[in-house]
Amino acid sequence: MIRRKSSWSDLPSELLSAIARRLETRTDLCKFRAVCSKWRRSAPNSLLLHKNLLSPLLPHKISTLTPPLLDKNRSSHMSSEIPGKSLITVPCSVFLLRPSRNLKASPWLITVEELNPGKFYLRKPLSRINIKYLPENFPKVLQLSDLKVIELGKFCTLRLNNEEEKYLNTKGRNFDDILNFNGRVYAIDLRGRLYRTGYDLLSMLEIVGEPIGLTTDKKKCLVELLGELYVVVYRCQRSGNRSPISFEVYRLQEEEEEWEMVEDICDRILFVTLDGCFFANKNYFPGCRGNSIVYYKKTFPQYTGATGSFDIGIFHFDDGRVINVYGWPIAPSPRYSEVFWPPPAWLLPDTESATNGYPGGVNQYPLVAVQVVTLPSFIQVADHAKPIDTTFTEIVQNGVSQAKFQGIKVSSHLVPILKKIWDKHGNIMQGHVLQTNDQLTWALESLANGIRFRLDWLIPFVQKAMAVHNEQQQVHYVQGLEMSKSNLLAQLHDLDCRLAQQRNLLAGMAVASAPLAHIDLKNVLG
Amino acid sequence: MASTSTSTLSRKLILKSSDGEKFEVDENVAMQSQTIKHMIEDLDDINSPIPVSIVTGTILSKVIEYCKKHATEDSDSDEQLKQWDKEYANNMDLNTLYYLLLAANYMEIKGLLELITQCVADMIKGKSPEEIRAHFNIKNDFTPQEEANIRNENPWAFEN
Repeated sequence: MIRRKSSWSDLPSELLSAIARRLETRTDLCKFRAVCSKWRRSAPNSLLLHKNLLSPLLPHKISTLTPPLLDKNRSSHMSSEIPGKSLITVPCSVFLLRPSRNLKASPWLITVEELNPGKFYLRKPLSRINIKYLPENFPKVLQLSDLKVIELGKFCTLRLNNEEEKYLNTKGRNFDDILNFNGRVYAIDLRGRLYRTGYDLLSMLEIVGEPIGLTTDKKKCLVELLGELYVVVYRCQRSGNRSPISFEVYRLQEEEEEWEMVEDICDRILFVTLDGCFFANKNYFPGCRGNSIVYYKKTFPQYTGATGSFDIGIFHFDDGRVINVYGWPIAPSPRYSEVFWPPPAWLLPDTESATNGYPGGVNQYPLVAVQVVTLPSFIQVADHAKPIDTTFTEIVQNGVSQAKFQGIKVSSHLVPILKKIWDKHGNIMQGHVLQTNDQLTWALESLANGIRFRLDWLIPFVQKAMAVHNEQQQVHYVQGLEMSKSNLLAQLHDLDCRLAQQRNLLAGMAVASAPLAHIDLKNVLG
Repeated sequence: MASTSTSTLSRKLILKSSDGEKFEVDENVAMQSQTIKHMIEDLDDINSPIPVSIVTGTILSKVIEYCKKHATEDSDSDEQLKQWDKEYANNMDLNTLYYLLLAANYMEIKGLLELITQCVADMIKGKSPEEIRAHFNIKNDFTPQEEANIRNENPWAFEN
């Protein structure tokens, strides 16, 4: 038989719909709907309302009696101020916007956070600080039709409700940075030792024999570029007249398990923020020099460079020079700062280009009005988020007393987390390479702390664990059950009575009633 | 001993593709398809070929490859099986994927249907509508007016 050519626009609607339902973000779904009219009809608008913009799993709320991150190294009055609040893992992204009609116009780099699904908070450039009051002429709704949008970086932040991020910085034995790279979790500690998890296990293994950098380095960050792993070392040492700030970048040679120093990063600009690092091509930023590092200064503890109101600095590999580019809200170096703030003229609705760009005005799209979600109800994120929720809801801080877990001493407040990991993944210590109990204690605590601190890297594992349950039908089935749970319970009671009556009836007759007696209604009804 | 006992326990079925190609498979392999499962229940003579009417031999052989792997899954870990699934789907060209999708739907093989829909969804992710059209060879049939509406469909809303 001659095989006909496939025609993807003629697929049965049910199959197109099944594909559309597997798209996790609203952005992807919108693009699906924009392909052709058949595809559009197969993915109804109603699907959009349940999708987040940035991440299928986040924002995700972690309910705790006392947020566990806050007690450590904190004075007691600090922790007593905030009991009963919850931690939220929120997704954030860094986008580069350009008007598609004039690609030579200066771009605008924005950091946005999706605390409430479907709506963005604009952050101060590269920071974790949400701008509470946008400029008056800033469009509340940004039409993307005439913009080129590039997502440069995608991260997540742990927030205490809507508080500033400053409470959440932890010190101590935690890793400096954690990154999901090639399907595994990589972490680097302050001493420059790199660890990674196995493919199947959550056990941390040290992979590079020689620690990278110096122990006096202030911070080490991990970043991926084109399938390779890099570490950015931030150093601060006073020597003569030179700037005390310097950076070094190393690339991991995976096979040799050795670090190779990177002398320059060519035409790229490396951005370093609290939430993570990313590379961008310098061509995106007309007039800016490449081969440089743009960094948010508060990424580094005890920043000792030039002080003042400058939040963002630039390090040039060519001459090792550091300059301040951006201060909130003053902009001392226009060439760079216009990339960050204020919002460019081409974006604002009172300019000519905007009038041309947004026919019909911004108010004719009522989609956004539905999206205002307040915090208490926001836990109803994507369907898939629910299983995670049950996993992490019961993290309770009991102080820092010691407890034993699997025969290893750990801080007792970490035990519930470790238990959960064990429940989910079995004994991940089996076959470990760490020799002493101290090392094991450290590894377990780091693991548990890592889980509490940043959750983004955990997602692949959770997804793995959830894969079995991920079938759409099953999800719907479970949802349906949850919604009608109370109804069913009432019916169950009713049915129980009727079953008892039936049993009596049957017992009275000579019919074999034994099989009926074994029916457990609770199981039958799930 | 174990292998002989399973082979004697498992009956053989013959599946016949739309272009007349015949495949002999173990019953537990064929039973992954709900459609065939129902057909067998209605079948008096299990030895007569079971027609899989809309699936060609080329596609049916790929479907059977999947079913065989998943009928003997106890030998592999979930992880290995997932890896196998991934390679299986990645080795298909777009045309094959299309007919596999139709076949999985018709034969009601849930796992395969999910695998293929996910694989297609992954191809769509991160692409612009133009890129999606080019990838799947789809014609843009929207009017300019419709297109303008569509482009404005997904605005970013900001908190203030």
